Amino acid sequence: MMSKNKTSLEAKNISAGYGEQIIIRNIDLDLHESSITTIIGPNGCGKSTFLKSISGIINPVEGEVSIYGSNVTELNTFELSKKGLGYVPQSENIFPSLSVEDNLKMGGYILSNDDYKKNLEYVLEMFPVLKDKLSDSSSNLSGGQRQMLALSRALMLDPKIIMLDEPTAGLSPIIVDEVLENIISLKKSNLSVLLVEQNAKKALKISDFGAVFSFGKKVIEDEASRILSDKEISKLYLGG
Amino acid sequence: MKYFDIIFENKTILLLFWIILILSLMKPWLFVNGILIGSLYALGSIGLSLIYGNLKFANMAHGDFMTLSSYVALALLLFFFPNSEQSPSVGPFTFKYELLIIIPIAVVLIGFLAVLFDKLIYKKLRDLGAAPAAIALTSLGLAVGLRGLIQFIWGTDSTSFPRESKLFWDLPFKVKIPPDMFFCAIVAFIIAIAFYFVLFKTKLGKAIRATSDNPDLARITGINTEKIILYIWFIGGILAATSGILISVQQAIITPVMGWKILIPLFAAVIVGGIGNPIGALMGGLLIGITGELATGWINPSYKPAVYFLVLLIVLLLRPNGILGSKGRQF
Repeated sequence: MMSKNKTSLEAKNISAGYGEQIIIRNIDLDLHESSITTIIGPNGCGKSTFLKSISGIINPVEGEVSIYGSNVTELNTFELSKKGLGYVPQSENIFPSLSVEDNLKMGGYILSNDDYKKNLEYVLEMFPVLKDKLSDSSSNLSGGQRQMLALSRALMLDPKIIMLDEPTAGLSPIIVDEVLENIISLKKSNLSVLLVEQNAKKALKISDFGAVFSFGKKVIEDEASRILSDKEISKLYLGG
Repeated sequence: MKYFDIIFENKTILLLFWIILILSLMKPWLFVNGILIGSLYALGSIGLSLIYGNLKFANMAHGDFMTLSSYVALALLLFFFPNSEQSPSVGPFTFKYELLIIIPIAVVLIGFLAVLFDKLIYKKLRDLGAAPAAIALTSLGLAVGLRGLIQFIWGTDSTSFPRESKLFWDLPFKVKIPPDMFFCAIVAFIIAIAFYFVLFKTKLGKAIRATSDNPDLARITGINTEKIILYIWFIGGILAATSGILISVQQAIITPVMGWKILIPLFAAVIVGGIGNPIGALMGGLLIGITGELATGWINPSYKPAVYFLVLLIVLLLRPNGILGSKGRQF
């Protein structure tokens, strides 16, 4: 049994949806320092809704979210970034009318000038491809570069927890591997990573823990290696 | 110069450009008038476009805010300087010195009033999840209410700022400009440049553009979008007020319906420029102003609104998202 690091984020009994329609029901999930947790499941099972409810984009109708023991359920979305929560949505995850540099500036909106410069240096070291494109319009970036910019933007605030919604969607296999490498390096920087992925096998391979969602409920939660090796799960959710 | 490339990207647009140029050369005084009037339309439509770009609804009360600002400026002028009628006018212009002191005060007051209306009305509608159409209809109600209030307080008759008659400036090519018109246009251009600077060169401006692009993402990033919205209302109010007061100065008349009437060319300018794009609104305002004035050289001026809509129709047939509008981009 894999030892678990300190709990960074605790989601208890989360139910959420859009308007009257409840999409996810009574979901519990914990994240731990220096670990990657991947949520897998069929389309429409509520993976993205769960991330949105944690980030406050949609308000949970029930449940509680804590970051390092502090209850953040009632906080506004913009205040969660100060608590160390970063989130990269699946699509529309950059500001297309702004330049690459201005996207990063918005990522560090609440930072002082000195902290902004320090963090900018850090993310550009991680994603050197963006260095030459700082003055370019972000709408002209390729799919892979966009994902890197989106991730960089979220990292500008030096989060403790980062949630990534399908970061490899629509990318070529080489770029997918590059993005996954970047995610591994986030874990090494002591971050808790919550990943939602369609490339389920690849994502679980780099993960410490996994959870399977189905019809708006969490049906399995275990170590990623055990989920990968479970034949039944593999047949049902990993394409055999 | 990407903005000028648009002229050359399509043969029909190039043809229209040549038609406007030839008409302008035939009657240059109308072209100059068009630029001067268009600059004021531009200022009004920039504010309208800013609000649309971020809050995604057509603010029907914008015109009546312009009217209110003129009446507020007049009331403040008469309150603080009751003898301004006797004081001298500024150089070649018709207005009195005191007005220059009052304009910034009135403009800032209207800016705060716009913020107050957001807190009292629009914020509540946003929190209730009201559809943009419902919010636009509410703004229509506010427009009618404001007009009623203006008529109740100041009456239905027209009035004007204390003024003194002055000669027009005679320029070459039969161009005759009332000096006030020149003053108003210069102020409008300075404000438009200042607005451009705020929007594109400051942290606040970039946050406004980010909020317009994607409010959810802006919130995730740590931007307090509700605070940004208040800034937007304040800036929008300032632009509406400046435009309203300058139009009253330029036309030497203040009426309770002046803002409502001007809403048509303003909306035309916003749509022609590309909805939600303030730079497009500036270009749209100038285009509407120039074409409207040029048309008066050949047709009765009362048909000007028809010309605005003809320009609107032609631009939208050629560029369905307006001059600078494109899918997914607001600025």
